[in-house]
Amino acid sequence: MKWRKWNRWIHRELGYLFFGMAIVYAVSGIALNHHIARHWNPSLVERVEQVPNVSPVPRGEVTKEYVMQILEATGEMDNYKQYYFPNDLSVMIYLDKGHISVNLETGETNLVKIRNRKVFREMNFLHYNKPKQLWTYFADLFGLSMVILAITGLFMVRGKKGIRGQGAVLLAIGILVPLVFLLIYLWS
Amino acid sequence: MKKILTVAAIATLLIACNTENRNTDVQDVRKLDIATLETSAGEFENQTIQVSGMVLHVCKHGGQKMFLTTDSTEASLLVRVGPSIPEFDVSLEGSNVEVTGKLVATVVSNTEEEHDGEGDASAASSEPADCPTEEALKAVGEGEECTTSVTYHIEATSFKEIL
Repeated sequence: MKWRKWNRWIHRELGYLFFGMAIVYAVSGIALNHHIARHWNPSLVERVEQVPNVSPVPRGEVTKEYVMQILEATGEMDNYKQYYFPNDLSVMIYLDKGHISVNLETGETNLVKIRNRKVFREMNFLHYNKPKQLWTYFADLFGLSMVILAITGLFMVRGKKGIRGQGAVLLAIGILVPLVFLLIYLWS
Repeated sequence: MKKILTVAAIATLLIACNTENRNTDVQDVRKLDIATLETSAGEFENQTIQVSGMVLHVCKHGGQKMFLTTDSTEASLLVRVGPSIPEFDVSLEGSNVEVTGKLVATVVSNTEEEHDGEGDASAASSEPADCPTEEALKAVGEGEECTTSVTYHIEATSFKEIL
């Protein structure tokens, strides 16, 4: 039938056109899934390094020289930005891509290095629609195309393995699984 | 295929031509410091202002907000990205920035908390208000006991690092 020819054509062309988008949204979707589940931060890598403790001093005695000593001990002299007191008991030394936090009461010192996670950061940037403006419409177009791809995909194969046979079973499973989760976690 | 390529070329051209002017008219911008906002933010509500300060914190879950402070105050000012800014990069922490944007008030009731998935810092320049504006009272419901406060933040239209 002619409609099947059109169905294949639409499925094929949209499939090629939005391959890149599908990868971006699928990979970042997995990443964001685990972000929401608090497994990791897909955009940033944060590493805490143990460094030797410093001698405890009261806030009033924290000088630039004191900060410089810490920077020298941690090898972060070249990355220094400035320092700040979040409260009377600690000082935060800001670095390029990180910071050093010092507990002034105990002298406990932590070096935190932060960097963007490559590839995932870019994908999440797009998935979160951070570019806004025209990207919004392109992403909408992709979303709409995914619906069309899903519908046209149902009618790609005829016969026993198509929508009137095995395909119907798989289709039902794919619809039932999210419904079961909604039943358990939302509607119960 | 030729049709598809033509459509793609036109779309690319449209994207390339989308050079929206992101510069705010400097004549309308009022330069303020965070200490001034701490005491009299209400006077500048909905106005475009420019504030400088050190970036205390950038929210790690999306970079949609950051907090500024200065040596002259213990308060911090919440800055949110506006429509023209994709995000604040975490590398801004510890840098001095100059932010331009609209000062926006948010009425918060005592029983209400903000949940937008980025609530890992709380301070923000806030101005506690016993009885805020008439509109705010309407927002929390007529006849209810006045248990609201107003917090202010900047919706940034532009920002730049300064020395």
